[in-house]
Amino acid sequence: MHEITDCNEAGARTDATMVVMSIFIAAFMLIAWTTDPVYQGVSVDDRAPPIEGKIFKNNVWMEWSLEDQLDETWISGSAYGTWHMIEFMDIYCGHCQSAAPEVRDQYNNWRATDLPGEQEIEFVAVSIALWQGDPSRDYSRENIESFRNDSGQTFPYIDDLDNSNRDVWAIPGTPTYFLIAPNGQIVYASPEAAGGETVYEAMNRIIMTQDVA
Amino acid sequence: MELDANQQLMLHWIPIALGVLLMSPMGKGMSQSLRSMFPGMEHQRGRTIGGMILVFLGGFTVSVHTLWIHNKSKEMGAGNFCSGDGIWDCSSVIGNDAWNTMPVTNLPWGLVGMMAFCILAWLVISIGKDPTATWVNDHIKYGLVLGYGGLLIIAYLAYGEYQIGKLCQYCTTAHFAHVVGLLGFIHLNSVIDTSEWGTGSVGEGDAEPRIRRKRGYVAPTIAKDDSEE
Repeated sequence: MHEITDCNEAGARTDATMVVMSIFIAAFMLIAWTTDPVYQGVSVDDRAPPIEGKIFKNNVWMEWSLEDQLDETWISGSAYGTWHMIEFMDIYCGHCQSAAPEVRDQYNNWRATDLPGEQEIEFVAVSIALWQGDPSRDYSRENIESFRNDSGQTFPYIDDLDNSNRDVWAIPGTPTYFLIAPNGQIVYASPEAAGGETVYEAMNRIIMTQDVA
Repeated sequence: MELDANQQLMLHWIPIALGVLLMSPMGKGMSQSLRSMFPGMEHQRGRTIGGMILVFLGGFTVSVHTLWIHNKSKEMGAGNFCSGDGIWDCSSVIGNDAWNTMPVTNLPWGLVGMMAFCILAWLVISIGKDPTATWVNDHIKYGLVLGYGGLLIIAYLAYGEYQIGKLCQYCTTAHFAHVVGLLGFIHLNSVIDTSEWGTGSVGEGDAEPRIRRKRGYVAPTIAKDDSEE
């Protein structure tokens, strides 16, 4: 005959807990050992969120997607593949206007630099609308082209006047810079740059030290 | 030989299908061979609990698989898993960042499923181990609350699948297991105060009848001391 005690009743629940927890932990360890996820985000080491839209490149507007430019088989340290320097900017932002000549010069310098291995670097400006709805500011593709031409820049500009990419990237202000590795991983983000490191310094530090072997 | 996604899914359906059979009227005949090992299977209550444990096990393993696919899809260089051209395409659902995590908590749905099935399994395993305990009623009520609450989540995810235009066979399997589990709790709730409930645990049968204790503190009785007389 069973003795009915609190100990017996607690024992049933404890036994069940042990069984369930053991199975849960075993399953969790299996997942931890067999997968290596990289979550999408806008911080360093995250996988870059998508950037999509019309891009002004070679004097025409065409469809463009960052995802299409990536090589997900690329491994960190490999001296091949295309890096992307992404600048989120606004054509009416004073800081962006001030930075435009430097971005132009850096682009020209980097295009002229012989990068280790078979690496390439692309600059892409994403033109967002910080003051959307303000009648005193005319956000249009024509004005994006004018800004680009007036700055003497030749790299492509993306029309993000509906702020769709800005919202996905949660851009706090402009200009904001990101360096994207060939596999889509963010390796530099200006909002969290340590010691005030610029994107160009980060490019020097990262791209120029890839393993050529 | 490499199994494709649908063939792998069948492995999760094995415990679920066995559980459903055990819970159904067919379970009586099916459990004949199991009675020597699990005497409690002679009762519908024992078969229901045994079936629910199997169903929750299937729900748990399919949730683990879903989380694994979710994580794999987030690996650099990861390919498509269980993608398909037809309506059944779990890759399009689990790989869809707009719908593949729980709002607010941002947890992948596979992990939420793992936790939910663990809790449900814990509720029902403890009932199976001690069906006459004072907390059995509470466990059944918790199971019902989780079961009905889960229906809201299933409705939300079904809406997500409608928005995406694809159905995830892995998610649907987990939803099926959840609904069957809810039906199990409804059945347990309907028989707990009847003679159908029986008294022994799933592993013991009814060989040693016990009376369900009432709630609350039972004061110890002091044995009479003969020396006082």
